[in-house]
Amino acid sequence: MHLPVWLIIIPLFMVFSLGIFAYINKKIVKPLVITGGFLQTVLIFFFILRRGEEVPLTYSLGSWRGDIAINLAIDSFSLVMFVLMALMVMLSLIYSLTEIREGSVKFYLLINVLFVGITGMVMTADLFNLYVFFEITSISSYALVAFNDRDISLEAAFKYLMIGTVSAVFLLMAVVLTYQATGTLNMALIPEGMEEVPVLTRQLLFAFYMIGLGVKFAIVPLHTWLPDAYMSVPITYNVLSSGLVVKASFFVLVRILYVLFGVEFLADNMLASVLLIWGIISMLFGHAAAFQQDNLKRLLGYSTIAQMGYVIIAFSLGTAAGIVAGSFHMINHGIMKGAVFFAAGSLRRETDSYELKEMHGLADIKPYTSLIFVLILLSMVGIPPFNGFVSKWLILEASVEAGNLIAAFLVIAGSFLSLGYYLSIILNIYTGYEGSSEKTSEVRLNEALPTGILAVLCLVLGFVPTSLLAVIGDAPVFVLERHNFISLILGG
Amino acid sequence: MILLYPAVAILICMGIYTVLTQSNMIKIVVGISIVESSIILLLGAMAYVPEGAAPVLDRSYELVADPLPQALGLTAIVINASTTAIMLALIIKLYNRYDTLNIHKIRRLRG
Repeated sequence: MHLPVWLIIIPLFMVFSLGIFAYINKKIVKPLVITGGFLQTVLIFFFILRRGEEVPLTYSLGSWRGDIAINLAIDSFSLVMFVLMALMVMLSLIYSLTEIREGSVKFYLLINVLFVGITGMVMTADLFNLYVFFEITSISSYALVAFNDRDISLEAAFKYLMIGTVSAVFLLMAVVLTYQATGTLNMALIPEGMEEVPVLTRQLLFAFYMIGLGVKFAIVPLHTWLPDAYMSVPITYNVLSSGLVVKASFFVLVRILYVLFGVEFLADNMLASVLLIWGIISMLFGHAAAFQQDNLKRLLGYSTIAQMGYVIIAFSLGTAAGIVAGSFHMINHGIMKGAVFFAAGSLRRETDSYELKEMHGLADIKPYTSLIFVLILLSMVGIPPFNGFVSKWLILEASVEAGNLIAAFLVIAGSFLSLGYYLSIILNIYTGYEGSSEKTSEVRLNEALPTGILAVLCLVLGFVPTSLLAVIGDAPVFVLERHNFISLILGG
Repeated sequence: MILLYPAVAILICMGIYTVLTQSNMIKIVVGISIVESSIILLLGAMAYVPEGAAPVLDRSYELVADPLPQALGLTAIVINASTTAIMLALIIKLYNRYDTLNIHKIRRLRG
């Protein structure tokens, strides 16, 4: 069974062949990219649908023994990211067909580099390999932020690059020091060696991992690049960033914290509480800052920071219910943000601006897109029939169960805060229309389709959350009980 | 040998200090390069085994240096080179737009 490695090979093949094919004929670039994305999606769906028989599995590169090889592992927790990748990869590629007019070869090349990095980060079980994939993801992100070649995108890219590179140094340092302390880079062998490392060293390593990966998922004092970067990038990258890049970094941090350090260590040294408080700060700050924004994309960027706060809170509880709730919210946020950005991109074609005050009365020109847009915004607030409600309810339940009533209260308070700024967007779109009421806008199928699919998913997951919970329900088995992960890789 | 570890710490602090205080973009890149190089120095120091030979496949040596950190160091150098390349490319673009290398004159975005 060589299927896991093909998940990395397919986008990697695209990266290296796109240039050659574009040299032969520019017209086959887009069909080729779509084919690659389709193959990858099919492969991911294969793993999700056959999770009983195929997953969990481990693949040792080069067929070395499990303890020396670089391993790729797919367990029930990876399925959380797999669900996101199955949706986002294909839908964003479809959406980008009309959005990217110039330099499409460059764009698809970078997007495929991004896919390589994310897939690798999710699957790898080797720390240094993780760092390499992390850098692959980061470098393609920097280039994609600068892609539009406008003044603000270059500035945002430089800012992101500065913060990102320094954070990558911290991650590398953490990896190197882990190697020195434990003598191995295999994530299955480190936990054993980690037990003998002094507590102070372990706390230092925790801090380094937090800083190194925290920049990527925009934990609050390290978040400054995100709203800037979101302002002037293609919608496709907005969706991929908030749906995959941010999530993959957080996913990796969870795996490192729970497998390398162990849940007991986090609880004994108050580090779980540090994470919890950090999550609460992220959430409240994100909501508060979103209030002051008058650019739609910046606002959605701050909303991503806030929603990641909810995910951090859920994961820091350290209970099975918390991890399921956090995983569920990770997927839901990806779906909702994807739909919102897709809809916002379609709305923007009428106004050519993301400034809120110029979006007055858009609902008269594009009634259906606006309706979807508003419904998804309500879903993000957490209003009942949608998926946002279900996942916030699960987080609430998990934090009450774990005895964290303050966190539970702040989750509700944060949701009320978010209602304020989402209502102001809705108000902007539905009022103040000046001009003729003739509907001149065209509907593009490739933009309507991804928006529609994600919006329907929001509703479906709101009514039957069990369909997704069945997929991710086993996630805590590999997070909380790390011996499962270790024996999966070492085959014991 | 033991002096190498404080040297690494000093280099990292120097590099981060440069990044935080300088307003010239080229100098910021130099600062980041210093930080990155110090990690490679750390990797070299870790691999060192007293009186160890080079880790080349030869059965006649008893003590050899640890080959893994050296391999990691090579990979890290490649990654650092590519990030530096991106940074410099961006600086060229920014310089063409704004005619200045001063980061404070360029920055219009506020966090």
